Amino acid sequence: MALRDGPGGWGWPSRVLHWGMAALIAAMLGLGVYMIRIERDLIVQYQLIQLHKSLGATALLLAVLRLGWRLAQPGRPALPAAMPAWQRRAATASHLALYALMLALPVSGWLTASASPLNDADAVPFRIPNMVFGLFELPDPFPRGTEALEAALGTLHRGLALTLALLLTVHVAAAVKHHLHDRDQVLRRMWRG
Amino acid sequence: MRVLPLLILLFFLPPAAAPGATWEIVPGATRVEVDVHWLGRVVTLRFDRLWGSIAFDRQRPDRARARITVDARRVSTGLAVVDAFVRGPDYLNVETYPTIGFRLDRLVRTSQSTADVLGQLTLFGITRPISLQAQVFRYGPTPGAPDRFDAGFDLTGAVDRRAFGHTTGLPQIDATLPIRIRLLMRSV
Repeated sequence: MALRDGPGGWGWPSRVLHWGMAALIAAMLGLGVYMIRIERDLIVQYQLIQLHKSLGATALLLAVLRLGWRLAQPGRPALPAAMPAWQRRAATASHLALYALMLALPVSGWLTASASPLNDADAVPFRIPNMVFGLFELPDPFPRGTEALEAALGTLHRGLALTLALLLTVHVAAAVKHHLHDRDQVLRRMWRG
Repeated sequence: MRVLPLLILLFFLPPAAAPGATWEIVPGATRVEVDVHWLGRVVTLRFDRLWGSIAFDRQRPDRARARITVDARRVSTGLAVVDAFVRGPDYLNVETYPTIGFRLDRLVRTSQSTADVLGQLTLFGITRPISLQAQVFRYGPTPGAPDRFDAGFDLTGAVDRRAFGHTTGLPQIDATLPIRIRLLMRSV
């Protein structure tokens, strides 16, 4: 099983990161919608938001690792020769956008939570720290938060999440098309290397 | 001949079910839940420790009397940081008002398994009338102890906290507090 990516296929770290983050991102999108739109019990909602923060910090760490690993690779599998130029450009652009969103989404979520007045030292009725699995607190870029800033960043966070969800839909649809219609190796090599 | 089974049944009724029996509250099976609504969301306050005295005659439920005290200091929401606020001076102020009291004045049976419960609620040192609706969820000999008798009621109702001088967080936090009580009592 290859470690590094190359023209022959994806190494196992890239594949583990790809599928692990795929599961994490799907779970986070679902959790984000559920905890804000559906859950009515404030205590359960609080606990889900804390879980969302912890998983978001994990996603950011994995995204940095993934980007670093990708940049350190000597090469990567080539796109199928039969692919039209516009699809190649679309693939490159959408992959760049996916990487950017993998970084921007957790960062914007962290900034949103940090901008909340509930995260301030003298918060009323009590302070809600941005803990990661209860182990440590994330740094606070906004020691003095405001509801307006929190709302603006929250809108950005939701907009990015929606963009990511749409882009992932295209990504998955393209992978399925490669597999079922074009019958090439694009999806298979992400699974088997 | 229809009275015969009834007579046989009466003969075998457990002695604990005799008129004027006193009852105890079964801890663990009895709890009070109060919903605090805030901007479309809800926090449920749970009180799991309560005690009191109950005189309940199964033949004359309208003569039932009860005094029940709820330990406000043990209120919990499931989250320590919220519990601290709820118990604190800005909400239930349990240091000053460690208990919540209920006195049953009248039980009015409305069907085979339902009743209206009228009484007095004491909260923050203020006593006001309250009415709850009761639904029987258990009524029969205690499982494993046939000489005793279980009577279980689910009581529901609502309290307007403004009547008790409580205005914290109005109007974002609703004035009306829906209450659910599961009361299991056992003949002594």
